[in-house]
This record gives sequence, C-alpha cells and structure tokens, in this order.
Amino acid sequence: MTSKLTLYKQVTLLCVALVVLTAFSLLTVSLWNTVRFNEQQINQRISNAENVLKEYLKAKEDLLVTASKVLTADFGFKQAVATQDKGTIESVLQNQGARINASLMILTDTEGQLISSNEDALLNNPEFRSSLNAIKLNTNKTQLAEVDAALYQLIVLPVKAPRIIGYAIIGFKIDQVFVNELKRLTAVDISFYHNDERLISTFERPLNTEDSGLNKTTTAWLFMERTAFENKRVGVNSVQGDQYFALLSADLSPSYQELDKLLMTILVLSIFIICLAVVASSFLARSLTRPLNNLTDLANAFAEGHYQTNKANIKGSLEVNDVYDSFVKMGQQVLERETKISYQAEHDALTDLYNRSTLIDVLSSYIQISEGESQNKLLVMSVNIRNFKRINDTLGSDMGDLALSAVAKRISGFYSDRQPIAGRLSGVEFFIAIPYDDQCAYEQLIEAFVVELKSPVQVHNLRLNLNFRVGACLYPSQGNSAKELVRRTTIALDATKSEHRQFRLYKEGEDEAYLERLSLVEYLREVMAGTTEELFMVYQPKLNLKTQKIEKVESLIRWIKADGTFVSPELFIDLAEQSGLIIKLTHWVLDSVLKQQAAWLASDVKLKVAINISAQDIVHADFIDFLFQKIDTYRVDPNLITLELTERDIMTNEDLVISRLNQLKRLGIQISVDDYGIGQSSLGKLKQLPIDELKIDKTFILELDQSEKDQQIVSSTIELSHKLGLSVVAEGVENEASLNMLREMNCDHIQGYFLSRPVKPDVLIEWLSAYDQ
Amino acid sequence: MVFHLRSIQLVFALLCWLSRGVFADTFLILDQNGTPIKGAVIELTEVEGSSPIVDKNQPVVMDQINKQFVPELLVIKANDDVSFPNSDNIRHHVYSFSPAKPFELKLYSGQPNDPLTFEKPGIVVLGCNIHDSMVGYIYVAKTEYVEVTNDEGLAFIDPNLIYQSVKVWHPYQSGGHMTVTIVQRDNLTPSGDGNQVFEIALSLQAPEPRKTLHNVLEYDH
Repeated sequence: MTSKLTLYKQVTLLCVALVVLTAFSLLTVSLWNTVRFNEQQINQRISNAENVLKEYLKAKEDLLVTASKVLTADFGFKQAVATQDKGTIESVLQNQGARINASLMILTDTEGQLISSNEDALLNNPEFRSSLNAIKLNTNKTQLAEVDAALYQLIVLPVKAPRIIGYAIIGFKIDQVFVNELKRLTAVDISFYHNDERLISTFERPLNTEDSGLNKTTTAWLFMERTAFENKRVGVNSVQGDQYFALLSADLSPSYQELDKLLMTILVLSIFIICLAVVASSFLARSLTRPLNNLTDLANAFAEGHYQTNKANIKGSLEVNDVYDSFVKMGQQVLERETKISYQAEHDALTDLYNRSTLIDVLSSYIQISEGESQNKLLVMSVNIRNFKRINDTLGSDMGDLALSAVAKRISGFYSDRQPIAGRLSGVEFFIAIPYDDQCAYEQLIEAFVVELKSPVQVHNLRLNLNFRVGACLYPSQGNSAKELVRRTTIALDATKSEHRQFRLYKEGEDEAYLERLSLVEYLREVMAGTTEELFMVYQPKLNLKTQKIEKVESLIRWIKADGTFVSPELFIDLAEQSGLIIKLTHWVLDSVLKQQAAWLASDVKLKVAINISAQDIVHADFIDFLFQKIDTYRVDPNLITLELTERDIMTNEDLVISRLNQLKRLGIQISVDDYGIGQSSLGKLKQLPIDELKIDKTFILELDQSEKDQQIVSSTIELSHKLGLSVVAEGVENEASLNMLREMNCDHIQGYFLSRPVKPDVLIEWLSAYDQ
Repeated sequence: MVFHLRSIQLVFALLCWLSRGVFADTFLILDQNGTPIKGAVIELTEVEGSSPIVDKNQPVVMDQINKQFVPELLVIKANDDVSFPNSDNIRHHVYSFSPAKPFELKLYSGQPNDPLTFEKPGIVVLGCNIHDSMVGYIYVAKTEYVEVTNDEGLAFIDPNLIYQSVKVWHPYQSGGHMTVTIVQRDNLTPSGDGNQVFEIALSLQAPEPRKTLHNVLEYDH
C-alpha cells in the first residue's frame, strides 16, 4: 500500500499526531477529572450548607424556644397577661420582647384571637390578622411564617397561669443579618421562599421574576452555556400547599474560573508543544529525507549514465549511509562493466580492432576534428585475405583464428607512430586508415604496406604465406565522409578481384557507378511494382531455315527510363540476379509474355515464344507453380512455351535443375540451352539433360563467314545436336553469307539482326505480315 | 359495654335511692364517651325551699401536700374562708389570677397568717409559681345548694327543691377550664322509668400532663 505522502510529511504528521493525541488525552482526562472533582466539591459544599442551615435553624430554634419558654413562664409576664389590660399587656410584650431580641411578640387568647402585639401598627393591619390565622397552633416547635411580607421564625407557646390563659407568639425575624451569617457559615447563597415567592435572600440584586435567574445559564464560554448556580431546595416546614423552603445556591463561577484556567493552560501548553513538535519533527524528517533525496539524485545520475560519483558525506543515519556507499560502489561497478561492454561493442573480440560501426564513428570524428586542416590526409586501405577458407579447413578454426590475430596485429602495427585507425570490417577483411602528409607520399606508404603484408605469418610453429588483396582510397581527395571512404575502399578492393590485381586504388566515378547500380535495383523494383511502361517486352523472330517460316520468337526485356535513358538489359538483369530481384522480374516477364501470347492467339497468331530464365528462377520453389498458374490464367498451350537457360546456369545446382526441367517437360514445355559453347559442360552432362534445343552462342556466329574455325565448330555442334535429338538455333546472324552457310550446315533456326532486331509486339505483327509476302 | 354500664348505673342509682329511704333527684354526669365523670360540680340556681346546708363556720382547708393541692377541688360558698396550710417541707408560692379571687401567697411554708375569704362566687384556679404542675380549683358557689359527683358520676339533690337551672362544671372541659354549662330545669329530662335521674353530658379533654420545673426546658413532641 503505497502512500501518497512523502516521508517528510509522514514523519511530521506522525510526531504531530502523537503530540496532539497525548495533549488531547491529557486535556480530556484532566478536564474530566477536574469537572467531576468540582462537581463533587460543589455537591459537598451544598450538602454541608444544608446541614449547616439545618443546624443553624435548629440552634436558633433551640434558643428561641428556650428564651420564649422562660419568658412565658415568667410570673410577671403571666400576671400582666392575666390582668387583661391591653396597655399593660402591650408594654409587657414590648419589654419582654426586647429582653430576648424578639422581633415579634403577639398575644392571643385561647381561641387564637389577637389580643396584643409589640407593634401596635400590626394590630390594625387586616393582612396581618389574616396571616396570623395561617400560623399553626403547633406549640413548642418553631416554624417559618410570613407576616407582613417579612419572614419570621416563630414559636407559639401557651401562657399558663396555671391553666392556659392565652398564647404567645414570639417571632425572630429572618433578616439580612441572619442570611448573611448563614452565608458566611455555609459559603453558599441562601434564599428563603414562601410558596415560590422569594422573601429574603443573600443575593443583593432584586429579581423581577422569581428564581428563574438562578436557574438561568449565565456564563457563556466557548459556545457553551453553563449553569451559573447549583441550587438545592431544602424544605423547612410545609403543610398542604403552604410551603416554606430555603434555596441554597452555590456559585459555580469560581470553579468555572479554575476550570477555565486549567483548560487554557493545557491548551496553550499543548499548542506550544505541538508547534515544538512540528518544528522538531520537520527537522527529523528533513534529516531522514535529505539523505534519501541525495540517494535519489544519485540514482537519477546513474539512470542518465553518470556512474562516476565522488563519495560525498551525506550526513544521514548509518543505514542510509550504507545504502549510499553501496550505491556509489554499484555505480563504479556498473561503470566498469559498461566500459567493458562498450569496448566489446566497439571492438572485434578476436583481434581487438575496431568493429565496422565503431570504425566508421572513429573515422567520422577524426574527419570532423581535422576539418579545415588540409594537411591531415588519410590513406585508407581495405585488406582481404585470399583463400582464407582453405586455411581454416586445412588447419582448423583455432589456427585460423590465430592467423587472423597475427594479421590484425601486423596491420594495426603498421606505422604505429602515425597512430593509424585500424579495424576489422568482416571475417577476412581488415581496414586501416593512416595519416600522411606531403613529406611522405602515399605511394610510399602503399608500397611499404604491401611489402609488410607479404612477409609470412608465424602461427605457433607454422609459417604461413598468405596472399592479400588491397583496395585503397585517399582522404580528402577521394572522399570526405567515413562511410564514403569505407565504401570506396571496398569498391577498389572488389575491383582487385575482377581485375586480378593485388592492389588497386580507387578510381573517380566508381562509387557513383556503384551507387547508381544500387539505385537502379531499387528503381527496378518500383518499376515492376507499378504499371509503368518503362519496362516492356520485345520479340525477336527466329527463322526456320527449312520451312522459311517464322514460327518462333524470343522474348527479351527492355527498360527505357522515364527520362529516355536506355538501361542495358545485361546490367539490370545482372543486378536483379545479384539482388534476388530476378524472381520477381521473371514473374513479371512470364506474366507479360503469356498475356501477349494469349492476345496473339485471340487474333489467330500462333507463335512459339522463348522466355529467358536464370538459375535462380528454376530452383525457386514457387517458379513452377507460378508458371502453371499463369498458363491457366491465360490459357496458353504449354507446347508454345520454351524456356531458355544458359549452359552455365544449368550447371549450377545440376540435380535440382534437372528434376525441375523434367517436371516442366512433362507439361509439354520446351527447354532450350542458351549461349551454348562457351560454358564448361561436358558432353556427358549434355546427354543427360532433358532439353530440346541448343542455341549456339553468338561469338561463333558473328564472323562465321570469315572464320573457318568457327565454321568447323558450328558444323560439328549442329551435327552432334541432331544426333542427340536436339534442334539447333544459331544466334547472331548478321549477314546473308552466314545465313547461307548455316542453311548448308542444316541448322534448324536462325536469329539475328540480319533477320530482325527485337521489336515490340505490334511491330512484330506488322513485320510478320510483311515477311509472309 | 356502655349499654351495660348504663344499665348497671341505673340499677345502682335505684339501689342508692332505695338505701336512702328518701326520694332524691339524681344527676348523672357523663363525658362525651358516656363515661361517668367524677368531681363535677353541680350548682342549683334560684332555689326555693330549704335543705340541709354544708357547715359554714369552720374554715375550709386547701392543703399542699407532695407538691399537689389537696383536695384538688374545693367547693365552698361565697364568703367562706379558706386556709392554705403548706404541709410540704418545701415552700410554695400559691397564686391565682382568677377574677373571682386574685391573690398571691408568696413563698411560704407552714401556715400563712390568715385564711382568705372568698367573697365572690366563681371559679378560682390556683397555681404554684415554683411548681408549674400544681393546679387546684376552688368552686365558690353562690348558695349552699351545690353538690359534687361521686366516683359513679352521681350527685343527689333534694327533690323538693325547686330551682330554675343547673350549673355544671368540671375543670377539664374541652371548652376551657372556666366554662360553665347551664341547663334549664325544664330542659332536664329524666331518664329511667319513674326515677328522676338526669343525665348531663360534658365534653372533656385530657388534662395537661403534669409538669415539674425541670421539664420546662424540654421539648414537647
């Protein structure tokens, strides 16, 4: 699973993620714990406050009850009450009340009807009277009661003298001092309520609505609203809908502050640490990736072929350094191998000379370098070892290799101070380019070279006398590109073979002729492929000497290029044979001729046509099939077809040729041997061949009337042929005398300019009709 | 059960009446549950005729024994004298705030100087300032025609007396300790066949528990 993130980012992300995770978990845990702790604290506080409130109220109650009981048991008090004198009672209430700091002193009769009070204003207050009725006559226990919109802690006690003569209601006001004292003790705010109406509270600000303010969430913090107070209701006394309770309100804001402080601290710390982590991890990542990047650069350099690197200290970890060192070593080794392979690619394995392609490159670069400097001349020579195959066969290939090596060494060592460029062009062909200048003429060099070559070659304990052929070319006078020079040298070398010389210097124009011949082949190929009329067949009639009639013609191919240039058939047929194009050419010829023959037959002209074919044609696998196909296509009678092969061509690959000829003969096709007499066949061979006709070569016929020797030869040839059952055609009849002679010799047919040149088919038809008359 | 009790009482009344040998009006005072009330005071008002009178010359005694008034209920006639000897070895501070006779005998022991004369008829509640639970009652009758019910809740009246109404009083009445019930003579309907037994019902409440000084500071529950 490949990641799209770089290592750098991965490392950074990892570190940061870890820190974030840690910080976050710490934050969460500590927050959680702190919140819970705070909650517990608050709950504890409220619980404590509740207890304190209850105890405080109870303590106050105890005091109240004690004081009140003592008061109501006082004889003087009882006495005053018993007088039933309102004035007295009021004053005693005020006095005794003041003694115990009671805010409220009320006296009622045994029915609960108000008699007197320490505040005479209250006596006349109807609300007061009604609220009195709500006070339970629950003696000996304090209760909370609202009297005249104020909250009192009341105790109702009977006044006994000794039987109950009335009830004293003694009340202690729950005022601001009271609640503030409570707050001081409990550390929470306290509010007292009567049936959801707030009577008194430690909160200073007055509330418009009841206690909704306390439940309202006040503090807003980070989009959260938090309750401002934790409230708890403590019932004090309640009976059937008349509820008095205290509301304890713990202010949460201090704990919130603490919490927020904690939170902020952790956040800031975390952010700080995260930043630190980012920076540190980016350093770490860089220190990891930089060496890797160096490695990548190195690898890229290798990919581009630059294997040589300096061993830089890349300051990575041990592992990375190891990898880097390995890379460098690898690079060096690759470089070594590459050098070696390059060398092998450029040099011949056996002789250590340049191979052909490298040779050309080296030569090209030499030429390029020496461009413009006219004194940089080169003598370029191709050397061929004659009959090397014989040596290989005789002495074995190992010895042959050694011989080649020795020759190569000799060649490359020639004038080594001039720093020649030596190479091996092919199996037995070597090459050397020696710089020379005007001081040392090239002729001298050539002479010296040939002499050098002539000396015997020492191989093991054998002295071999080898024969060489040398073709030479000059730079810059005879060529100015490497390929040109090599090609021209080869041409010169080929010329040594045909001219039977040992040495041959290139002649001007040969290359062009050579190239032209090459282009001609290509041109021919194109011409055959197209529907041009450059290529066409001409027909030369053969006269039957006995009947004086024309029944046979020979088909010949002619090529006139579009620009009017006549291309010699010998040339292009020779080229076709050399390039293997002859097969296609013959096909073309067959097609053309048979088509023509069919056309003639259609217009009632029956002529036997002879077609020239080569050795390559006859041995080609497809030839017979093709011929049969064409015969079918054009519906030509096979008897009207003669195939002419030269004597020489028949002799190559005899057995195959003979079997093919037999095949053809079975079909009814006639076989004719062309250029007879100049070949190398024996008479014995002749009698074996499945042939029908011999054509005496024109060299014997051209000057027949003047050469007795020719007459003898021709005469005997004709006789011999007849004896073997073959008919004879004499080619090259150019005068009447020869014709007459041939008639006397009983030659069957003649062919020559005397009769007619080869002409186009329509011309032939015309000539035939003219001749008939 | 009540039914049984009633029938027994009737028979007993009859027997008592028979044992006396003289015709007498009998008053039976019952509480709200039908239980006979002991110590209820019955006073006749506007009497015609004569009948034996209680001795009047001796001063009547209201003693204090064992931090209690003895007797708890004293029935006297107006203008009778009552002396208050203190037979306890601790001092008492006897007082009364009753309108009939407010008085105070401050912290004494033994015999106070003079007996006190109770001129006004009415109910006098006595208490001790030191001992809150000491309570006594003196019923000052207007005339000598006053009786107290016995253990069976019965009181006997000379049938020859002609009176207008009957005042009935008991200290533990639920209406308050000063409540006096007045029943007109005409409204009295005898129960039982032939014999004049008048039943009058009072509503009582339990007496307040006895308190001593050291109980003052305790809670009631």
